[in-house]
Amino acid sequence: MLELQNISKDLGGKTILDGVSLKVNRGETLVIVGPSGTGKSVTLQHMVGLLRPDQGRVLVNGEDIHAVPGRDQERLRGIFGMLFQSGALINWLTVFENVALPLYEKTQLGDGEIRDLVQRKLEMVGLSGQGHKYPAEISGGMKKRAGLARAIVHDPQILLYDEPTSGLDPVMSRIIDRLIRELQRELKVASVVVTHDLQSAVTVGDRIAMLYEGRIIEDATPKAFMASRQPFVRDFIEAQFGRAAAPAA
Amino acid sequence: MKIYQPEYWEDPHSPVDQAGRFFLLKLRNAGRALYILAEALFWIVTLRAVWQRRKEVVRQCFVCGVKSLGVTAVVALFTGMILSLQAGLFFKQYGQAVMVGALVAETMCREMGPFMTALILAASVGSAMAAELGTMNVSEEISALQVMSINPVRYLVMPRLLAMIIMCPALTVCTNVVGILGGMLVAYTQLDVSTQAYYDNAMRYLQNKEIWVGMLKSVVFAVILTTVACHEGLSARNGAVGVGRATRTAVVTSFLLILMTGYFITRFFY
Repeated sequence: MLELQNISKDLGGKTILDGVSLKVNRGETLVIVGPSGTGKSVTLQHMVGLLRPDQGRVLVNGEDIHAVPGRDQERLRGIFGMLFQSGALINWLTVFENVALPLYEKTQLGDGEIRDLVQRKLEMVGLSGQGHKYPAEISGGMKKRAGLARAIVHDPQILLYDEPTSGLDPVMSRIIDRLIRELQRELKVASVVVTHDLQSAVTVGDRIAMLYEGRIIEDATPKAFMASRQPFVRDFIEAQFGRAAAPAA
Repeated sequence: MKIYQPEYWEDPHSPVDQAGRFFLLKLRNAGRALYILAEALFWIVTLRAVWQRRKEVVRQCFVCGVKSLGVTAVVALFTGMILSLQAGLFFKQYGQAVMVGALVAETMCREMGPFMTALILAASVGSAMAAELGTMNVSEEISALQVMSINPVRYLVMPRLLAMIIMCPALTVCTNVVGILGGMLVAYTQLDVSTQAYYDNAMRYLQNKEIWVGMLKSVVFAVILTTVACHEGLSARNGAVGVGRATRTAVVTSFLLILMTGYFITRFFY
């Protein structure tokens, strides 16, 4: 469904990605973890075509998103839904209008159909009755949920999450995790979650990949990941859970 | 909209290197701004896009026109009064104070009206556009639009450009009228020129060409200040500092381009 083949990217003379290869299948959730500044968000931006790799290919349903003509690239982008770190809601639109935006702009659906669809998605993320509010009037967690409703409103096949729990309190983080899991079950989409929150990664992921200095140094099931003997993976786990609490390798 | 990759250059090795890079950077920015302008004009010509975004076009017209009317009127009034006083005192020495109406009307319609209006719009609306789009850029809203396959130029730049092309000439007409009335006020109260004489002289010497050249200038200035503001906003990087830099650059660049273009348009027609 989504495959990164040997992606390399230099920014400012620094190698950010160095031969990254990843594959996500339908109905699977891949979590990419790693310390800040290791290129996790850059990887996501390559997946959706916001950044062009210096080397390598990004295949979406077998088509290279960077090699196809503009119209096809637009079609391939339609396969994606993306939740941005800050929610990235348009400030002068209400929550309802934000969620409805891709439908108004990219489909021929009537007002009634759009209203029903948006209400349904807002219910899915627990925001029913909040559609009239502006982004400035809602909390960080609600912004993320509204961003999520917008990401899924056109029924994408691939969902990308950029730091879905960053900046949220632990309770709200777990709510978002649960939401990601529920959406996964209901929509059967391929998901890629970028995070440095290992607890969240273990909760939502079917596979966890660790990005370190531009390379994937581990790609395993959550259980196998937590038992990894890779020194950097061990350091990362112990830094989050503490040496005593971290599962033994 | 073409997606530009972020660029990072190594530190320059010499002043020549630095100057060369500065020149290339300006050239590249000009190219990108023209690309955005061409794309926005394409969407304007494609009337379907305008119809789809009509509410936003009306909202932008309100922001550009109605909200700027007060400050434009005050500046126009005093511009006309200053012109009238300066020229009138000079003309009075030769007993030609009555000619002040012709001078104020011609100067306002051809030069000062479009120029002052464009400067006010660049400082108020242009800076706000750059800040708004810049903030959207650094908070990933532009990226979100791109991921949703919504063209940011069509969605954001086109309504702003069209609104400015409509409202800048309209405001210029207001500026001209208020400026001429301001000049009349000074002429009547301080130069002993009757309002009828002022009006007659203004109308006698003011030709259609003056008015149309002024209108042409106001359209060109509208295009310049919107393109510069939107380009700077869409190029903003690095958080609040980047937005501040984009806003400042938008205002300074607009001022300079408006000034220079104004000269060349006058030179071309006269």
